[in-house]
Amino acid sequence: MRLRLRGLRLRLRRRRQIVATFLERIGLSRTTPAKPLEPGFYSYVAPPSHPFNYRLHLRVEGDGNGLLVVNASTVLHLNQTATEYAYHFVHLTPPEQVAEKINRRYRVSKPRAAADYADFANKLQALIETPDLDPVTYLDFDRTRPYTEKLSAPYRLDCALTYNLPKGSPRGATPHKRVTTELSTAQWKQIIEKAHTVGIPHIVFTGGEPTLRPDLAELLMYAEDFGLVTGVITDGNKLGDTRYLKTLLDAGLDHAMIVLQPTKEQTWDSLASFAYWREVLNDDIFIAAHLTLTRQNAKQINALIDRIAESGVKALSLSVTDPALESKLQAARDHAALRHLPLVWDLPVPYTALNPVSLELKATRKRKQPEGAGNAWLYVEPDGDVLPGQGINKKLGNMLKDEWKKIWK
Amino acid sequence: MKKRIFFLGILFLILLVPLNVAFAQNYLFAVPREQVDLYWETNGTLTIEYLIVFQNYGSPLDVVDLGLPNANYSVANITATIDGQPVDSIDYDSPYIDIGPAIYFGSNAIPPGQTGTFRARITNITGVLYTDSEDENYASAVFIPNYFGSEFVTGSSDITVVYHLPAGVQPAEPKWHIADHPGFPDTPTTGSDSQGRITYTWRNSNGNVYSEYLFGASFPKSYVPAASIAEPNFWQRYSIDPEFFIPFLFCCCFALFIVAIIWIGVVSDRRRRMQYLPPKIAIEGHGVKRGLTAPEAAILLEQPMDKILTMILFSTIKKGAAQVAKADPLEIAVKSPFPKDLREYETQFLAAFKEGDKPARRRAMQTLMVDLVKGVANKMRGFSKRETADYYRKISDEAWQQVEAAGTPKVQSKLYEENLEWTMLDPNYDDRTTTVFTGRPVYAPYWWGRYAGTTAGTGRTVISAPSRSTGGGRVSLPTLPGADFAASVVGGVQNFAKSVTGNVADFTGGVTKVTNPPPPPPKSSGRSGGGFSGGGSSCACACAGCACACAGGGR
Repeated sequence: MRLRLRGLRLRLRRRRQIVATFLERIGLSRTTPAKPLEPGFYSYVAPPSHPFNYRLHLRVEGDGNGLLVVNASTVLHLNQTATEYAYHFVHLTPPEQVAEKINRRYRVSKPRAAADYADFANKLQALIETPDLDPVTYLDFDRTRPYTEKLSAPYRLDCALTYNLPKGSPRGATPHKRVTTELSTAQWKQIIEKAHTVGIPHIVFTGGEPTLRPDLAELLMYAEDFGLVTGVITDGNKLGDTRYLKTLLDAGLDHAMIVLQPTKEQTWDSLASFAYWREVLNDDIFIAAHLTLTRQNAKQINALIDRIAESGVKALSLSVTDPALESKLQAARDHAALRHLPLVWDLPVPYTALNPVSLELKATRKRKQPEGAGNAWLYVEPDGDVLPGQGINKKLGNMLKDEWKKIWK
Repeated sequence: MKKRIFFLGILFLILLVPLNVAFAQNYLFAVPREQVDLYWETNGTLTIEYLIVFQNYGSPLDVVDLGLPNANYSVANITATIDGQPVDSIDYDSPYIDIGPAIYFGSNAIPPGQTGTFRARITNITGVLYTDSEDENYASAVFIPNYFGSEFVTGSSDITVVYHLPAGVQPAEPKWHIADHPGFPDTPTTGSDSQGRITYTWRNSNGNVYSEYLFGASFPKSYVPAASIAEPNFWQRYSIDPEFFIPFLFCCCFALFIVAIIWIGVVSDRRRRMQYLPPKIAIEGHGVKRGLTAPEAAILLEQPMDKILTMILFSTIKKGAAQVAKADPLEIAVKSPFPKDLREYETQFLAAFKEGDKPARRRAMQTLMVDLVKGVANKMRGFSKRETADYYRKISDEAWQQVEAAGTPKVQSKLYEENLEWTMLDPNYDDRTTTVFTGRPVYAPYWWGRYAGTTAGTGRTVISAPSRSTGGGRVSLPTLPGADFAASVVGGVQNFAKSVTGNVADFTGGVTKVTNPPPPPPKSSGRSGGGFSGGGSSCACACAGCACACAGGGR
């Protein structure tokens, strides 16, 4: 009986398919099942005339969910529907067409889809235009703990272009013995292209000292052409030369972090150089400074922070090498807050668990490496080897030689 | 969509085509007289004799389509004349009626304006008798005289229908069927013909030949062979006219088909589409921001600004950096140099009090609050405002629970002194303070003298400040009535507002216009596809009565 029923059901289904195909041919119906968006990587860069200079990078994952990165810093995880809305937001689809397309693909009425899209777009716009707004409280976003979601690619690729350091730098500061070769410009371009292909929205050039590579501007421009956000971490010595800095800015540099050597005036010159171009070009480049709190500078730390704030730096990275200075670090953090300097803590400066943020996060307090290493970001050595993060000598593969699947397991 | 309209259009055209067939005729005539004699024979057959007088008003009348009860007739059994002249030809099957011959007049066609008498005799029609539905021993004979399309006929007609029952039927045996037609009598005239057969005659001198008139009679089956009596077929049994029913059924099926197509279309389209879940956005960010001081937490919890400044006042007094010099209006004596453990906002607070000019002091206090709000906002970047606010509410609540659960006044006073700023985070701290301490002695904290020691002029209890223990020695703490203590603590906020901030709403407005400036006039967003509102106010909680931090939690 059951077999017979099954046979009947199969026959009915086949008949229904024939009817459905007929209906589709005469335009009364569509039978091709709607599927989530194809995996892909899409960018949107606000035009220069826009009052808010922002970039959006949308990565559609294989399951239809998505990752939207705002200004390479705010990471939003989207469900399938939100991903579709973000896709249309990034592609500037007119709202009425969005409702039409969503209605065709989902069991939802056009008015509801239109209302949901308007709500989504308004929230995103508010997030972009009002950086101080708490999105959980005021925009009804959910919160997810950083680096806990499964990703198809990291948010950022830190590319150590070279381990060379300026003359006079302490010997052994970089692992020259382990990494003996440097990739060519063409090879780095391959890596940048591969990063774009797998959906990494953000490239940070670091070192050693990346400004020692003559092709830095060329690589910045190459990444910019893909719509990627680019940054440089440097000691700033070379950036005091305003002409050199101008070439980097013209190449599309989006942000820079100066690893401060407070006793060297060149460091401060580089900040002045940025300030100069910011004023001349009316450029909104984001500058952060990294300051390591030591026994030597602990007493002047507030004065140093004041000087950093006055130089136009927009964010501060703080760390301490001596655990005994933990309380000083907290005071420095408070002083930075008073000077309206937000903290950044995940860029590949010499890492220590003793940064002000990890000190407050119980879960990460005992970690020896940053929580996002190997997940939110990867680190590429000058020879193309991929590590989870700077200073974590666990080779995951080679960016040039290995398939992405092998590197990103 | 165009494809769909085209398809539906074709379907409607198919429906409309049959309606066009009969419009090419231009016949017009009157029938002044029509007589039909129906001879129900003893062999079970029917003989029909027609006499029809035509008065022609239209095209030459050259043919008559004669409707018959069924197809059991033969052309060989049909004779017909027009004005006594034989007709030209007879076709078995008329193309214009369902059942019946077409009789062509040929050269004897009736010209326009002329009259002609048509006679026809059809014999040996079988299958015309049925069992009577009311009496199975009777045979029923039912007949509808020929009728024409109303568009061809004009004028009235004298119509006579005569039933000649089978020979031998006795006068008491037959029954007529009621003829419920206007103009015809219900009861036929009974008589007998030249052969002695019983006749039923229905006549209407003002009838018409375009209406269907049904007549009938029944007689005992025994007068005809049993085999000649047909059983009613499906249509006859249920009195359904197949001519009407089949097109009706076709239309129903077609309508059903259309409905089914639409239904299948809707269902398959629905199945094809994916399930819709409301768009959901989750932002990566840390949860609770620990390490905020009580005034900072108060900013986050949007506490009134005079209360926050009073909290700072208490903290500077506790740290020995200040002492109340005069209660009303409030003046404090600032210790110089400042103790080392002061926070930035405490230093700013003391500096503000050094301003002798009241408006200048108020402005300095506003600057302090602006810096404090912005500082908290910076500290909150990357952390959840909601979770952090909940965390500090819980701390405040736990502080109160400890104070309220304390077993002795001494322990209670100690806990209250330790947690004073945290208890002040409670929006109902004033009521709670009054409730907890009224009616019991309070051990004044070591710094109480610096806060309330100079309030003699205000009528409060004067307490000498105890010295703080620096070693392990015991400290003798003075006590004071709980009600006075509570009033002094609670009154501190009102006193601060009265003396320093002035109108709290105005003071707060001066702060929030810096921390939460009104949104700029709308600009073109630059997104060609958008048309969205530009994000609205810079802060959703920019209310005048709260110190809004607007911290960027979650990022």
